[in-house]
Amino acid sequence: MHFDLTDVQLMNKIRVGDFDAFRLLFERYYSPLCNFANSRLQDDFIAEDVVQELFTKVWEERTRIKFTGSIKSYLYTAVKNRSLNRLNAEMLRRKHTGAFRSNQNELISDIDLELEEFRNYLFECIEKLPPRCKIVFEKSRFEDLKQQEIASVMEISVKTVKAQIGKALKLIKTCVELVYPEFSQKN
Amino acid sequence: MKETFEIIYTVLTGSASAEEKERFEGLMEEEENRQLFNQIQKIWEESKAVRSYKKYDARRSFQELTRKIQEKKRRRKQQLWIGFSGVAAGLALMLGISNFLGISEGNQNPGNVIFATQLGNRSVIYLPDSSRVWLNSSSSLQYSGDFNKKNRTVRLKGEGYFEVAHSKKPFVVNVGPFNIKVYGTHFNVSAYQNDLFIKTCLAKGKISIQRTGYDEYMVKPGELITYDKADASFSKKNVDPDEYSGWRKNLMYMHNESLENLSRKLERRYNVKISFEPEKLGEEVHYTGTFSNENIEEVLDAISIASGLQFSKKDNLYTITRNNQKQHKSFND
Repeated sequence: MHFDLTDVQLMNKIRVGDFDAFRLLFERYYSPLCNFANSRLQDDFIAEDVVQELFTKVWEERTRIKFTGSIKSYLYTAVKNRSLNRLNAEMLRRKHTGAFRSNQNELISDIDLELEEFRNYLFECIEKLPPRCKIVFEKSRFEDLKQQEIASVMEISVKTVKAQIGKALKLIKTCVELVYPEFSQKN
Repeated sequence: MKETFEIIYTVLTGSASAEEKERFEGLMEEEENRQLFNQIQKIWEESKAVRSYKKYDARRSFQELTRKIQEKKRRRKQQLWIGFSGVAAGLALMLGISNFLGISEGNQNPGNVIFATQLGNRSVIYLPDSSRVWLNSSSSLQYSGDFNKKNRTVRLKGEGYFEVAHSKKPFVVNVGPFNIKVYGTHFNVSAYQNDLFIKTCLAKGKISIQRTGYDEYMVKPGELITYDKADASFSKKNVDPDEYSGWRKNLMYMHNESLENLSRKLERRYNVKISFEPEKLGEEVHYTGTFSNENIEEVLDAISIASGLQFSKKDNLYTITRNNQKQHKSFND
């Protein structure tokens, strides 16, 4: 019943102790934030830990927490800072000097936030591809295999590889258009 | 059109044949296709960045998080309860469950401990300084996590009887408009939000009333201090303190108490609703007496017989009316 609520509405409920609203905010951002953390940490286990820690803090300090920007940018900023702190701690442990510097008070830039959101949505679009189409696309994009290599690994023709990737790109574009109208605008 | 995507793919991966390159150049002459190329290029480039992306299991993780929050809270409470007797710990644990995750705490800080009684329930609270508080029906007592470190401050809503342990640290009961400062003693405070008065009665020992901007008033044993919310004034009179703390032992004392006030007390004690017809009956009739363990209907029976009233019941609502067969008379008034 809280499903359509905005982040601000959810947070208002969380402030007065609505645990259900807290769960919804968590479910809304958990996976994207983990991916964001993991892209910095290269460790999905630590990434999950960082995000969980952040949400524990959100709940415990729900009455005092202040947002200078949007709740979304607060969460992404916090994950970015917490990830950097983890990396620095790890560097220190390995007796390196802190290689990562960040201004902890600086909110994540709108450009970075938009890009991260775009990536998350793109990921979801790729996830929705038909299975075969998805495998061919991933082999090309994630494993850097050439057309011929994919063809021989999957025992299909090069023509089919091209057709599957062409189809994947078309489907992804259509999917992205749903949220990013500029992908369908004709200037 | 379908082939356009394939050609773009071969161009993006640098694997286009001579024929494909030629067709690509032909396509790029049109603005629409140039735009399409830019879009596909963006998708292509960014999809590299999501290589490590996966769907994280938010539900499983949330259960884990819930456990962690619970565990943290439990540990924090345990720290507060060091030095408690086994009985007190058992009681606190019970209340802790009802306060699960602080959901019922509303706007409070996490470090605060809140005990609350529901309508019709009462309980004894053992504070970390070994003071005891009897909490009457639908009341709450709140204190911060650092209670007994520097000072001992509690916030009372509703009614409580305090047996305060001796200590150099002042014990302060905040009831909203004023504070009651305690010097080691037994006393009763009734500060229900719906009531018009806040009543403080000292059984023994020494307490004082402190209100910002006023002198501290030392209360003597047997004195009842009544604060009138309407005009923010205090008045005092001498009473039998047992009358004001009898609820602890299930005793209900009435001393020239209006039916209206008595009904409020009965509503809280028995978790029922009581109304009068006509409404002025509530102020007309007064009682003096004691009830102990009677059930609500026995109490209403006794009241009705004493003052020529009758009551009827519908669901949880009792309605008290004049008994037309008898003459109107009020008991002890």
